Amino acid sequence: MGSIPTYNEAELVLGLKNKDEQVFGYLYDHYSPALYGVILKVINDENVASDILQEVFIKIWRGIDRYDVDKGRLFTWMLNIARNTAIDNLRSKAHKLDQKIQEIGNDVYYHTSQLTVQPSVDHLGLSKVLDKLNKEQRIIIDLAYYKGCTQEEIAKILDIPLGTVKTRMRNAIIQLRNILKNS
Amino acid sequence: MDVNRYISSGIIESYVAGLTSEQESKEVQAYMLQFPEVKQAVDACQQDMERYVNMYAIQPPSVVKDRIFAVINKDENNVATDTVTVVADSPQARIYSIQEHQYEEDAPRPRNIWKYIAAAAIVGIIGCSAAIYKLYTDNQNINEKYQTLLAQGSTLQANNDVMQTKLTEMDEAMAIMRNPAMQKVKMPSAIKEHPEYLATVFFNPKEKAVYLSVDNMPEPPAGQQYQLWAIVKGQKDPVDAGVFDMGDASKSLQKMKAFGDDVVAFAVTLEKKGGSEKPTMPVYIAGKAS
Repeated sequence: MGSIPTYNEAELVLGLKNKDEQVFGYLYDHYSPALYGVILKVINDENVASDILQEVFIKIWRGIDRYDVDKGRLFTWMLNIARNTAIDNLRSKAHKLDQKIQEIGNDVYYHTSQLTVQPSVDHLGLSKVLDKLNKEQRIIIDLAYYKGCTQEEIAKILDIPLGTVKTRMRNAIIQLRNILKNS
Repeated sequence: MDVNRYISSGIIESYVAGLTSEQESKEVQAYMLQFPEVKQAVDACQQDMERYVNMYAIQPPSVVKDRIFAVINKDENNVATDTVTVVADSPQARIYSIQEHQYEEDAPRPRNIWKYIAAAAIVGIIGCSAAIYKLYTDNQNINEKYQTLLAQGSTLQANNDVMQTKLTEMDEAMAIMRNPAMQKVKMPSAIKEHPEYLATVFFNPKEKAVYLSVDNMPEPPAGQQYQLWAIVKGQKDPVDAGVFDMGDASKSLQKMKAFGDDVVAFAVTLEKKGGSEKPTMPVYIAGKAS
């Protein structure tokens, strides 16, 4: 995010549990671009994405007591809510497998066009990462994370044996980690 | 459980990317509580994902915030009575204790400094030897593991290559069969005792392409091979369309000799290896081209 947070994670969780609207506002200001980015990447429709973003933050507000610090960081928890809500929405529209593939392909262009009008985003960093991550590695992460594909679906789309999906995912994320470290 | 092996299996990354089944996810969560290494690996991976996700961050339309606050304010007015329990939930913040710094008390002054130096040197030497020995054995272990992994890797690669080839073959076969100009000529058995014999010719008269697919034929005796014949309009004798193999080759489409739309029928006989000029009776299977 770049800016210095005035609440740490424990304080955020505590504030949310106490229904502190100031904390919630801070949370929104700091995390809504990331969550909106996730939702847009799943849905590709700004109107629907805005509605889902609203739904997600209301889920966070109402469901903070379900957050379990042992299972991961607050941000990850929020990302998962955003991702799952968006994917459920996508599924309910009965999108087909081939559409998923097509969307992944179009996404890259879609978001670069988005980024040109959003100078606040570190788009140099983004394209640098996307360039270094090879296409297959990016696709495997995006199919799983943004499109909610199962291992079977990924094996089918990438034309690889089912048993290798997990190791491919590991390699992709290790590659991502290395790139992030150096960028 | 071998924790390192578990971590390097790819399950952690798959879990974080949302790829694991419910059961696998529960397993990962259980191991996170049990093994700090697993928790650490999951945390690290989640942070990678967070950073990746952040790269796609986009400012949402500003009205969304107002809408959210309108909803939660309404919420609070309505459920004020119900949620007392939630609010009453006393702050159970985990207060992270400030690390206590322990200041060492003044060290005792050495009376005979050489004694300490000698003792330290001996301890040092023993420590070093032990470390060297450990490094040596570790290295050997790692080497062994590395060799096994290398071997596994090449086996996997080989399997993968085989699968890829098979897949390409199947794709080609699919493409051939899907071609709308392709005619399917079934050749049922011509032998009374074996009505189950069957093979199919895929025949594209336009492109003069003939493929054969074996459905059910026995292995020919040693030194013999099946031969396909085309009965061609205006020709008295059947024309050789090539021999074909059984075994693994029969599992995919086999390309035969080229024929155009003057073919009336196809037939198969058993011939000597390499094929004959004229068919030897009996005809095993045959079918009419439409």
